[in-house]
Amino acid sequence: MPRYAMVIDLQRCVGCGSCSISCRNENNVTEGIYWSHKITETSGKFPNVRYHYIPTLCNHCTNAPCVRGCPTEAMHKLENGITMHDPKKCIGCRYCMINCPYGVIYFNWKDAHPSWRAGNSVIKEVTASPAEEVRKVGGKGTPYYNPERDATLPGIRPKGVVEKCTFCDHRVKRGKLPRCVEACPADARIFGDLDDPESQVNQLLGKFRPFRLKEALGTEPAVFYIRDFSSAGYPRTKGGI
Amino acid sequence: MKEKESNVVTTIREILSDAKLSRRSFVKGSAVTGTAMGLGFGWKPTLRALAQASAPLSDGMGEWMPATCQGCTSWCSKQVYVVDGRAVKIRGNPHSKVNMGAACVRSHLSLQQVYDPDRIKTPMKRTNPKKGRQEDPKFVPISWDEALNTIADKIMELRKNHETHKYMLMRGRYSYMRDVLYDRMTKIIGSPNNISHSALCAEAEKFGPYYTEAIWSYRQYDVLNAHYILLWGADPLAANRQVSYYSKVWGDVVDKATIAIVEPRLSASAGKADEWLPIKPGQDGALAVAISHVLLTEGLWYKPFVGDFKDGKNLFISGQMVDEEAFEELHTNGIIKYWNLELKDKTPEWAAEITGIPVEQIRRVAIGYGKAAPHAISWLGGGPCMQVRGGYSAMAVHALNGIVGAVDNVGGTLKANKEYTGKFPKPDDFMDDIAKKGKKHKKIDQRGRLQFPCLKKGKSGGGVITNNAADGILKDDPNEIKVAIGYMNNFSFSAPQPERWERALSKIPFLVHITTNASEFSWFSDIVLPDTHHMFEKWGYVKAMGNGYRHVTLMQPIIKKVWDYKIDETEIPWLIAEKLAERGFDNLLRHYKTYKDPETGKAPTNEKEFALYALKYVTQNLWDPAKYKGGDKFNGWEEFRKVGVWNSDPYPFRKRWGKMKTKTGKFEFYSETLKEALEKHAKKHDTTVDEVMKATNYLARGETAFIPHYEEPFILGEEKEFPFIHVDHKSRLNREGRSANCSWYYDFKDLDPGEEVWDDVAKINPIDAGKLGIKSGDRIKLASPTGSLICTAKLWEGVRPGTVAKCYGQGHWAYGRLASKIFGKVPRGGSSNDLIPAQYEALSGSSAYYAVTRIKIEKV
Amino acid sequence: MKLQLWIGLLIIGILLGLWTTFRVYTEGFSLYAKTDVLVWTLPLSTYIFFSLTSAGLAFVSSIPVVFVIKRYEAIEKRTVYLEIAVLIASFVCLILHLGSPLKVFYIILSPNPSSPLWWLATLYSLYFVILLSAFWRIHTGKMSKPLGVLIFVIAILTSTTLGWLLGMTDARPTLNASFFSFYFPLTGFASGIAVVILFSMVSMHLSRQEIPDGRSALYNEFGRLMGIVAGMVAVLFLWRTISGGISSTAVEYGAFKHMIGSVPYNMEFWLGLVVPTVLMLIPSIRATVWGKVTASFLLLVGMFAGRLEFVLSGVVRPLGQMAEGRPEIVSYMPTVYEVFVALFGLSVMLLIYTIGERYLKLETAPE
Repeated sequence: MPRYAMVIDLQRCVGCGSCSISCRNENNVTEGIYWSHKITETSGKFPNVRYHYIPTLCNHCTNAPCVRGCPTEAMHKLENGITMHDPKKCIGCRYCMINCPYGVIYFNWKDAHPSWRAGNSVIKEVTASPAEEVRKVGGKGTPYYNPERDATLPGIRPKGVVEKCTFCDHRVKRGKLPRCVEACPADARIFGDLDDPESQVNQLLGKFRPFRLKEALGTEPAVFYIRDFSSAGYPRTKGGI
Repeated sequence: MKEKESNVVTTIREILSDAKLSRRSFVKGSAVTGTAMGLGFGWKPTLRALAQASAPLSDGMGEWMPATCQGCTSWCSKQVYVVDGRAVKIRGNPHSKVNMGAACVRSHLSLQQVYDPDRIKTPMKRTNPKKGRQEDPKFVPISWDEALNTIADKIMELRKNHETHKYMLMRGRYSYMRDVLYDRMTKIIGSPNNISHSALCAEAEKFGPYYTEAIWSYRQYDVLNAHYILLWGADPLAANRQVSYYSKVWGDVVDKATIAIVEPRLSASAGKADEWLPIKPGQDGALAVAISHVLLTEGLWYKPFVGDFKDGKNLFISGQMVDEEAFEELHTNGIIKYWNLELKDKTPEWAAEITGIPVEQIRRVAIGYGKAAPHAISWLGGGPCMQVRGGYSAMAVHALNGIVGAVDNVGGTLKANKEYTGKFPKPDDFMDDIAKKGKKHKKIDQRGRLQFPCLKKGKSGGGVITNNAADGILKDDPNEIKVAIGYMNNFSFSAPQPERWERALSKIPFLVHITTNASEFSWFSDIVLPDTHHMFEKWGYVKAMGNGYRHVTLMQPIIKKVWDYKIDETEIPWLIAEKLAERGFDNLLRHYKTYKDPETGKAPTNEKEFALYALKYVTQNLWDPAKYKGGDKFNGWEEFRKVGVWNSDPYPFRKRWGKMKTKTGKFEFYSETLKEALEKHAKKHDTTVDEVMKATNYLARGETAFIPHYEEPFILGEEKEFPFIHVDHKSRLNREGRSANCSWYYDFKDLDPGEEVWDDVAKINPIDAGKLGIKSGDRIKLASPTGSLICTAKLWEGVRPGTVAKCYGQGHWAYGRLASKIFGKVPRGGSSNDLIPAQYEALSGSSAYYAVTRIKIEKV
Repeated sequence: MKLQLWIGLLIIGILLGLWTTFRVYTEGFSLYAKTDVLVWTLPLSTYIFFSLTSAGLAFVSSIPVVFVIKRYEAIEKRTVYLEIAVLIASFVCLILHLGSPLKVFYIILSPNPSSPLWWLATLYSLYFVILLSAFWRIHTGKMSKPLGVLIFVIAILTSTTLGWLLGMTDARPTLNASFFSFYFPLTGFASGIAVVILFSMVSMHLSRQEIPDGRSALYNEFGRLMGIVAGMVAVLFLWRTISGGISSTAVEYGAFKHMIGSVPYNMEFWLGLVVPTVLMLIPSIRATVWGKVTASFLLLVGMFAGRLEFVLSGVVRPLGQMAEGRPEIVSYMPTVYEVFVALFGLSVMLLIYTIGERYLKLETAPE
């Protein structure tokens, strides 16, 4: 059984967020929930300013605090290292959200895709209502509903349960890369098996000094970062007094 | 036992779980995660195997279909994942050598566009005869038949009265099928007034390369072989053009090249750059000439391209004239004139004061850039040139490529590769006397007048001056407009000072809009026709370049059409032609019937066939093996259609050295080409070039008018009343102005550095904000001498003090439920165009967007 | 007449609660101060308040059996009954905190013993059953010793498990394990005594009973005990403030630093700890009914605020990607629905108590 991991090459990353939007799309994630997200920072003072961007997602920790705390094992580990959630068992206590150091777990506060439920149209008889559009197109929840998500997790999660990134377990299972990896225009995400010494993931982890988020907590994330978002050069200097 | 439990659970779940969550999925869900009941004690969470699901895996539910994205003018080739006729996701078309399978972030928003519930699903007409921003048009649905009959009647009325020149066609986002509607139909009806949106887009940017190396177009950049990339108001990682391609390779580009970016705001690309030069808005020309000055004084020009001093000694010494005879020029023209007329005094010290960039940084960048020659790109974006006096900045910036020999060179700036699409049949034989006479009238945008040279490709009045058409309409100058059709345009939102368009459109007695959404333009229309979405529902093609290739990528109807849309550039003109024929004027229909299917030789009999045949007709050289001319080879239309994109041959480097289409055949620092164009224009108006300069608001007199040079920016507003300079910029989520009705646009708006989700912010330097007592989150009003908007303040270090950066894209007051706060009434956020005055870079006809106005900030 | 008014008020509270329940499960939890940062708010803190109070009552009720202090038996019946009422109130609040409460069956079907929450749920279920049987025993005769001991043990376990629950979150060190595992039972104990004093005093006042001399001494003793415990807690509380809120350099403690200036913090410290301690350590005040009533009431109000304070100090500082686009500290103001949840719990508890007081002879001491 492989042990999946992701390497994010920050130098390749252009901070465009294609990962996040394509993830929304692939997993039919509702408004306001970010399975794939980012941590950004504008550092320095004008004119010495730069912008930094770190893409984030569930770290699929080996020692996952969310799994440890879940009273019903709704949050659980798969043998392939993926931290998976089963909404069927989720009682909605949100303890996993308290436990997760990375803020990657979200709660369905209400029915998903609320804006697509509206029944009004902006111009009577000339435009559709969102609900009518969904119906007519034949989607579910949204017109661009992705039915493939439904293979391992309800295609759209009900209210009252949490949800988070699953490393696209439904794709991985079919031998496809997670959607964010496929969709990254910069090829900044590299996915593979940690147990395979020859995997591209291991090749990169051996080449660079990777870091992971909040390593001191001992969660052992499966998402690694290499290189810098801003790899700028600067004029040589020893500083001065 | 276990079964019993799961029944209990099932029951509970049915009561509780969302009614929409299907029973199937959760029964299956329980199978998938079928539980082990054992009380595995111990602190390590037990690993669980994902039990084999009993339900079949939903593999390959859909198919990847070829498509083209026109979210910006990158015009990438894409693929759409289609499930049961439904578009589900987007990716780059791996067959394209231009975008190489990459899809930028904005492409995904097309899904929310095509299934936007606020798209008009049927033709509609206004029932409120009064037109105006405050007048609800009271649209009611009508049939296509009624809509087309009304349009045909109105056109026939013009024809009957021999006033076909009062017909006008306004073009917005187009494919290369455009000529069917834009050119042929306008001509055969008999009007000169086909007005494109191009001058709202980038014409001034084309001015620079045209009057140096005779290419009136965007360029492509060989970034992977570049050692220095100097970007000017260009943001390739976020905005136009080839965002997908540049995003793909940038991580490798930065390994090899130093990236410097000139831009008053810390853009997405600036965030990853080695050097950020936060220039004072409008002073790009000063920086460009100062860098040129350093390049020459330091001897860093690329000798194999420019040539050298005859005795090998560098005579470019600050402040000193150089004898033209002392230099032997190779593939360029007028380097010494350029030096003597402009560069010799333009030292970094001089520029530092004007630009706000420190001397050391100017020198460092200039020397770094020069040392990288010829693999040193000077990348001209819209920023430095879409300004009132931006034409010469465009030249100065592009001239840097000439100095370092990057033109047409490896690691340099390239033109488009050759492609072999054809043209539609000529309209001439179908233009009757009324048409011929009508066509001879002057155009409504007043191009070619003394103050509007619009020197596209060297021709006086050769280009459009889009935004001025509003004034033409308002003043009936040169004539009134009685019937107008606009398609996929939204001038009353996308053009600066749009309030003029509101009045102009209200004045047109019969206005038709072909559009996906009821936009600010539709608001003033009498009839609105529902358009197809370019990416999923239309037959068409576009050409784009990048990565040293050019591709021709197809647009095809690949999904189930949900409502009664028709294709703007083919189906609708055909249907109008049919209606005109019914009324006894069949010239247009007869013309369209000459667009025969190249495979069968059949003439089209209905609009659907016409749309397809027209496309096959113009692209025949690409897919018909018998007509093969180069690039990718296909065995026929079907194969081409399935692949969806044709790629050119690789770029032939340095083939144009000495053979440019300029007057001298060389890269012109002293532009004989511009000189000729200006002199012709002056002659046409019986005056001098100096007078033309004066009329077009330029300061140059004499010979300086023919060389790249610095012009003090022309910025509206007194500093005392309006202390800040407005900096307009684009969003990486903008699909031109059309993604503001997508929820993803707002949920991900902070992907633009400094922006906030679900808000429209003006980015202000904390120093300035401190003086005004403004905090992040305050509601503020920005006001220019010509307009104002209300938005939210955001304190951000990534803006130059003295400037306010505001992103374009929001501020719609129509278009849809999300785009506007209250449809038809209250905008969401503020549109930059409400601040920007209708000013022009008149030599190209461009609207000025940058460094064009000062603004003030007031707390609301 | 007064009783009808009182019951009417409680029913209004319950109706508001039921309406909230309906709205929450039809519309969603967006009725609460919903953000993915403020994960746990007033409904949960009210649950914690009630459940710790219940544990505290358990300590009080088990004193006679576990420590064999005969004179405490006098109040045992009321105490056990209060435990039940308070525990039910805590369940009410918990249910309205959970997104999918009916799925709690999975706690049995799919147990995860590494989760403190699992233990808590298990212990509470057990606790509830034992309490009911204990009350039945008292009501029908005498408290059995094994049951009393069991209650005592479970009370220790639930209150400390709650400390474990929060302390397990390495990501939020403000919810400090070692601290709360100690702090919770202690404050719970103080709340338990306060409830006993408050309800006994008020009940007797309302039924216009004279307090028998022996009882009076007993309540004074409770008063002193409450004062002592509150005083101890106040000291602990100060240490927590100093170690976590002032001297700690860890950024995560920013949330707690922020809470130090907050209303709930100051309510807990001053109203819940300092004032009751002072009141109860002055013998002349302790001897008065109003003194005891005031002190115990304030202590309960303070503890209620305190539960909210520590829940918030765990969540107001967004972690990881949740911090994106948000201020460093997210501000919290309960929505009206959240207040209704707390009111719901309180009304249920008071209604159960009122019924018991009327029909179950809570005054009677076991023989």
